[in-house]
Amino acid sequence: MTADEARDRGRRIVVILTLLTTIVAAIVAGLEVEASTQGDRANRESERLVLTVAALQVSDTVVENYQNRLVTDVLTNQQEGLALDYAALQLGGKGDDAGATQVGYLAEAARARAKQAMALSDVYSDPAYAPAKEGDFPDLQGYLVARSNAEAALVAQENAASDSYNLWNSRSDTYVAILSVLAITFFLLGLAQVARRMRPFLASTAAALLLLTVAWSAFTALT
Amino acid sequence: MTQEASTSQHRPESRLDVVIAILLAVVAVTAALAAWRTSAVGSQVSDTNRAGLIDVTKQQAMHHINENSAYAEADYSAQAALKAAEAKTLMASDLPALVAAGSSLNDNLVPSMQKLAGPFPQGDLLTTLGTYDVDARIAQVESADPQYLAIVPAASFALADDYSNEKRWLTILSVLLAIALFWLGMAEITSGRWRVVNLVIGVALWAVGVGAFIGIETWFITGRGGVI
Repeated sequence: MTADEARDRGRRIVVILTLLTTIVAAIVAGLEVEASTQGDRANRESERLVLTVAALQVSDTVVENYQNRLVTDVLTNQQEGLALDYAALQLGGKGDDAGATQVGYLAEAARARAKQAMALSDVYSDPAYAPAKEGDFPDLQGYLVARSNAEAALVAQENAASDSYNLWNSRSDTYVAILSVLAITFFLLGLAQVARRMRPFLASTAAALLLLTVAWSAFTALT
Repeated sequence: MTQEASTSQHRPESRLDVVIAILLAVVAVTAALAAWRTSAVGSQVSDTNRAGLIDVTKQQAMHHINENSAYAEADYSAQAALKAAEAKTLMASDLPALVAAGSSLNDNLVPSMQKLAGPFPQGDLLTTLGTYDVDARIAQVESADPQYLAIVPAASFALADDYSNEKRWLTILSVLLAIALFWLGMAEITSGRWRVVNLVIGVALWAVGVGAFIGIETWFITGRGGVI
């Protein structure tokens, strides 16, 4: 092989390597922008879910206040009924029958209020939380836990979206680093096209960097 | 060699120098244009995503107002129902004073409390358990509120996704154009046959880039109904 032929062959290899680097750079750029896009979407979803969870917490407070008020109405009126019954008994014991009858009706009215509050309360009406027998306390804690389950599910989704964002963001950062290495590869190949004596060294270093970026990209995309 | 012969020998090379220089300028301008458009589309992605998140917040703020109002109505209705039950019991008594008290509660207090209860306790606003279906009332209010219905975060998110897809392709294109610039730079500093090879690859990449740029922009802008 003459010196000219060897030089020509060297240049051909450099051009082929540059072409390969071009293709790899285009692919890595595509992977980077895809990772960045997915990261942005996961981030947006995570932010949307954070807002939704916050809104749900506020809603839960409103619903729980309403239900708590009905439960309070039930308990207060039940106790008022008992207290008035006791007063009626005392009046009867003292011989005040008219007063005892009147207070007895007031006790009945209090029990009617309690019964109506029970009918309107989810905690007393839903068999899942309603007291097993009359006079028992409803499972208010169970009701609150069931409501917070929906919140917990959303928080889990938010965490998953946040993890996804971190993963894609980290991938995107890696691809940017790979693109930087590819820029160095281009620089070395550019030098290799014009530098005659250093061409083998520059081209082989560029080839090594190109292989490294291909392996690094594949590892990043597959893990 | 005479001066004339020397000039004629260098002429094609000098002409190619000028062509490459012009091409370098054209490709640089195209790459700058693509980079500008990518950045502009990237800004649109951020803006529309932000608009979507603001819409989510607005929608939730309006929902809280509707929710508070609906629960306040349900609460008034519940308290009115409690008073009505009390009045009924008193009116059923055989004591005239209690009957009068119950009647007054029933005729005066209960209706005035019920006035604050909105449509409760209408049959379609009751759950199967017989309790108030406040969620149905909220849905009723929101479905009739044009301001609430006008807020659609999903539309902003869909638009953001569209811009995001456009940005994806434009970014790849910008990289291609930058690489075309590199190939033309190589053509500028090399000579002979390799100069032409570098030049051809550079021009081919640029041509593919410009064609793809026009195609991408036409596809996405047409898809959005002409919205840039």
